[in-house]
Amino acid sequence: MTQQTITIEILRYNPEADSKPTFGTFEIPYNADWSLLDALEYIKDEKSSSLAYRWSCRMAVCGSCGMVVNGRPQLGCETFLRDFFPGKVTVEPLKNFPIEKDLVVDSSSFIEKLESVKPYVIDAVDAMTAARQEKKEIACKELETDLKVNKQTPAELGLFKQFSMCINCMLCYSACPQLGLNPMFTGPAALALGHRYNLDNRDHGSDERADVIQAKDGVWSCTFVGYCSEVCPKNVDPAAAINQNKAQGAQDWVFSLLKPGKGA
Amino acid sequence: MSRRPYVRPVPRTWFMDHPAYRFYMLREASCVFDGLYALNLFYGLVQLASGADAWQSWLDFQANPLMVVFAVITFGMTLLHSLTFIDMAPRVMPQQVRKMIADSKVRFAMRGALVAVTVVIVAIAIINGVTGGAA
Repeated sequence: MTQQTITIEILRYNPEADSKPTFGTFEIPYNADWSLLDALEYIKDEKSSSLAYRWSCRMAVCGSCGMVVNGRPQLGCETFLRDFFPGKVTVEPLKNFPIEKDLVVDSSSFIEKLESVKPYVIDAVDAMTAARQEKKEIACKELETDLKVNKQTPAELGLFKQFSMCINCMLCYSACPQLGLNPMFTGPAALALGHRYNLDNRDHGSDERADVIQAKDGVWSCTFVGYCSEVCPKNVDPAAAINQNKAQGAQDWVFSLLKPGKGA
Repeated sequence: MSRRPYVRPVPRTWFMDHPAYRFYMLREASCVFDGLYALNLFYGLVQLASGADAWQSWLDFQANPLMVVFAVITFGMTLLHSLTFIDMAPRVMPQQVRKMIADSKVRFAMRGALVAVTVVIVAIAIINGVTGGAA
């Protein structure tokens, strides 16, 4: 019996030679056990050694191999050829990012957005220093009573655990049409991570994060398309995180009107 | 080696590119039909206030086959609107509340409330129609 084959189409772009990306087609042996990542390795070894793609762990933990497979953002390592055979597989780099080469995208904008939400525990001392610098004396008084040992119960952990499972694979950024229309949008993963720290009982940084999270390019650029949560390989549900912040932001705004001492 | 990142343009018809985007646009478009229907009802109210003839002309206008088709589409769109709303609503609730009540229970309660309110309104309309005719 002759070896069965499967067709893989890959959007190729060589910055040194091509003016724009074009599809390259590869006919490779079909193996029911192969993930898409295995297929790309075969193509790089046997067909086109210049093929560029990112990968590392091969077990959906590192978040390196995000790509668009037949129109859907997926991790290459947990996408299997058997789910497409005998049909062909079309592979493109993640949408909403500049293509560096082939399937490799420039993710620097994502890293900047991730940093902008301060994704780390800001303790009471840090928050007080920041509040003193901004001369928010009322905030300082509230924080002084909160200078205690950081304890966390399982229930308090459970509150945000879901949002802490993000592996920064950027599939949600590829899925989000608002990001395509407004590249300044902070985006699902970064906002979900900001929400994760805001929900952490050890953290006192929600005021500092609000400048980014509640901005026009923050949660208010989201229209709850919801596809980000559908493609998330870790069930983080960033759409829920973002839209919980809208409700919180609206509530904070109303309270700020009622409390003139705190300022709007 | 020189870097020359390629930025792919977003086509004007991006919302047709994926089933998830198409469904999103359908969901968002449902409010247009509800908005138009609300205008139609408001126009009916104005006609009701202007006298029996005006009210009858509005009723005749509703019987127009195009208006019947519009009403049927609006009914479908309203169902889609409310069901997708109920589907998304629990996820927007504060995380503290979500940890106390499962999303599925909130959805079940909201769907139940939707059915109950609809049944009550339809029942009032039918009873009023019957007794109104007698009175």
